[in-house]
Amino acid sequence: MARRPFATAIIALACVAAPLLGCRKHKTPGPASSSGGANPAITTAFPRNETLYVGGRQWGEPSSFNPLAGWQDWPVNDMNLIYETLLMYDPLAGKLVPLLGESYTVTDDSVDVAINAAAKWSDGQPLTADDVKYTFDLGKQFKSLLMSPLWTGGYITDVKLGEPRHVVFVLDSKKKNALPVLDACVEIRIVPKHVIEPMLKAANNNIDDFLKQKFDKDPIGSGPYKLLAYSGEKIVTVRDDNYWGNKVFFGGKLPAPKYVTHPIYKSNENFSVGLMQGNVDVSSSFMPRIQEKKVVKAWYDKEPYFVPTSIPMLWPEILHAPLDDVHLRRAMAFAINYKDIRDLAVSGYSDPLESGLVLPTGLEQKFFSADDAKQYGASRYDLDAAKAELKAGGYTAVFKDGELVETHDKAGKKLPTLYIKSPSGWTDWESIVRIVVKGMRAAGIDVRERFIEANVFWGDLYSGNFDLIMFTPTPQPEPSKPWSRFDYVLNSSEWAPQGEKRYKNMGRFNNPKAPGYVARIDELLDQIPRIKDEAELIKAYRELNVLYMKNQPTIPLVYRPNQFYEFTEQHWKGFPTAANPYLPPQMPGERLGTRILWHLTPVGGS
Amino acid sequence: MELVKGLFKIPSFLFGLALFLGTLGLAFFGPLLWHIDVVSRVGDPYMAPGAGHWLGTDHLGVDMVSMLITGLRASLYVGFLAGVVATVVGTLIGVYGGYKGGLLDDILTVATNLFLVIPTLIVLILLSSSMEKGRSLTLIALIIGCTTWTWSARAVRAQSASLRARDHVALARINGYSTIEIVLEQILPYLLSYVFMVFILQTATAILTEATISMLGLGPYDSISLGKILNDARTNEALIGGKWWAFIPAMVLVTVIAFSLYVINTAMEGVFNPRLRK
Repeated sequence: MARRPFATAIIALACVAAPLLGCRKHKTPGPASSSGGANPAITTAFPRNETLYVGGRQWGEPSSFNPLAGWQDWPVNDMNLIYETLLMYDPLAGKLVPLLGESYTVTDDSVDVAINAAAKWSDGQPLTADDVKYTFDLGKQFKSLLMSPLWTGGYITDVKLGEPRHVVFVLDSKKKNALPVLDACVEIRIVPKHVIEPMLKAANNNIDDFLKQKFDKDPIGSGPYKLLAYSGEKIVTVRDDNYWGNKVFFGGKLPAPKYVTHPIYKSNENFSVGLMQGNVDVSSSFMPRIQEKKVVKAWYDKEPYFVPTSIPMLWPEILHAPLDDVHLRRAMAFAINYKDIRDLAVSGYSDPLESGLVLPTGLEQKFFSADDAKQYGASRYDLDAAKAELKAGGYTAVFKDGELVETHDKAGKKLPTLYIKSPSGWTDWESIVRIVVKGMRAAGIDVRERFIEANVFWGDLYSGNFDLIMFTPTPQPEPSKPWSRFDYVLNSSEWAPQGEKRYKNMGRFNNPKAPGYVARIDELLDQIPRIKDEAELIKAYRELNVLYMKNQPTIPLVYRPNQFYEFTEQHWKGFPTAANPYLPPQMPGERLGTRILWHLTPVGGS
Repeated sequence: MELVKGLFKIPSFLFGLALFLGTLGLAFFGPLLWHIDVVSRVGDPYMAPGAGHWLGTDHLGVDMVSMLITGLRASLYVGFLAGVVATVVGTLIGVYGGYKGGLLDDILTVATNLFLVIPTLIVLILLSSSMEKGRSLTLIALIIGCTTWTWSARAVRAQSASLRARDHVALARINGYSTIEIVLEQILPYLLSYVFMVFILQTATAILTEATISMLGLGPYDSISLGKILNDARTNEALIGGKWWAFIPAMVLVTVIAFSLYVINTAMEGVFNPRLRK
């Protein structure tokens, strides 16, 4: 009897070992590999001095490289590696930089972009104004595409072919707002008509069927790199030595890395370890306490380390009583310890918070007024002011042993506990929410944190299924800032009730049909894009910002860069920094940061 | 009584007991000796240990000793609650099925075996991530208890079945005792030492399980537990930064509780199990 388990164990071991041993013999993955794509190529070695490893933009197995999909994987989303935008935006200088578009002119009625005559696709076909028109026209036909807000928002009425190689965006005659068009010029990647049109036709013009195409086998683009291979572990792009821009922008010079590779890790700390060990060269992941990591560098070598472009904020669902009460919203804003958020949750990567929706630094500084912020703003930690606002709203808090039990409204009724939703696992936001809850409870507002799965989060956000939710409006560095941030938070022109999806003003503030509607907000949002005179523009922004502060429809928490920018010079050097700001702090391959690739040199020669 | 006295002569039992009472003492008397404050920020994030804050601070600048004592209390609470649930449910089902035998026993055994093959951790993860309203500490304890009772049921059932044929049980049956009376009065007392050992093991397992799921980020939303301290240390990159005080003390505490309980259990088995008795 004693032998049997032993024999069983041997057989079991043999069963387990057999496939393992078998695997060793075959180096290439078998057909069982789920990733598909050009897999054999991924097992070849990539010389370290020819490969740039980037991180922070891909967190799971790639699902689609389709340039028209709503969510694409690295290196398509936000990147100019395979597909390219018409223009690029320099957030340091506030200027538009040519890419596919050689130059542009903005008039009251149109935006005219001249396409570079040298631009061509990776299959040798020229990239023409027709491709550009085709790309933007797709948004007119299919409402789910990234360029469709230009049409559905009523900003443009037509995209015309102008003079040879010119594309003309015809602005809506009432709005006359060129800002969303300029944003689209830096956000929308131009697709090859000669590839997409037949594919769409084959899909019977059904966009959903078309969007299932992954574009993972030798996709045709216009950018400096081509998709080489991908798996669940990494995505590899290889330099296209025939890239048209090499000659046009760099005098024939090639980008330094032959391969740009994105290893796929699941969390921030993996990218941090990768950076410290030199397995990742540059990353946009969040890395706490960067000052302690000697080999890892950022834009500034001291606080705030990064360049702020966005404002993460709490969005109250205005339709949920008691959040319709401005006293409560202002009390919430006064109750938050912003210094703790800055020091603890974001490792000091932020300037001190000021009230309002304008960044107090950089290009937006001229629209910021410290006097207005002081007079009307509530974004400063002041428990007495919070309690005064609560008193003004008739709220009373019940404390027991120093702990908040519940809050009562002016009728003496117990208010329901309000929950702050935030995606679970987003560690910096989790810490922010914890600090917010701590402050609000101390002030006497019954709130609690609720961390939810990321996929549930997006659905809840757009349909308004929340009391309070964490979200950063339009974080991208774009020519339309700060107007687009105001528009995103305040716009009520397409106001929809809760339950209906809304991709702006998700808190459903300022219902035009409800009493208390502030018409002036929508007026200013409409007027600002047309104002040419700077003094007048500053006046308008100040008025709008004051209206925002008085109504407090959202609660700003901290400043943050659109993407973090950390790099290590263990294998590549020449990254831009505040001391050498030849390009903005963006990932090589991302937006204008693509050009960093031409300025890098491998450490120790090649 | 003789047996219990014998227990106190075993060095390993005394060692385990001392360790366990030590952690209990820390949990209950810690707040009297140390000013517990898990809300206020007392310093910089991950401030190194020093005077005033013997184990430094966590990522939000909160005193680590306070966090540990609070977390220890939560972990012990989860352990005891889950241990009680698992032991009571498992023992009742096991004793009843073992005594009754027949079809009822078969059904209970099948049910137990079914529960046994369900991977506990996956159930826990699924349940905890689907709790939209948030997971409280008590809920997590109940989930753990309700998924780990199976092996106490199986172990107790075997013991109970062996007692069924004893003379005093037969006598009680002849005297017209009801099944419940027999189970509670004639069988259970003989199993008490065994059930107690099961309880100890279940408690230790529950504490480790809670630490595991909290470490994975599925811990209670409303309280601090040792597993959550470990999770915070992991997600805030304390390990990479070498901030040992953020995770080593919590790890040591979890290990010490589980280890002391296991030592107690092993020592007790040596005394109560006649086959192992020296």
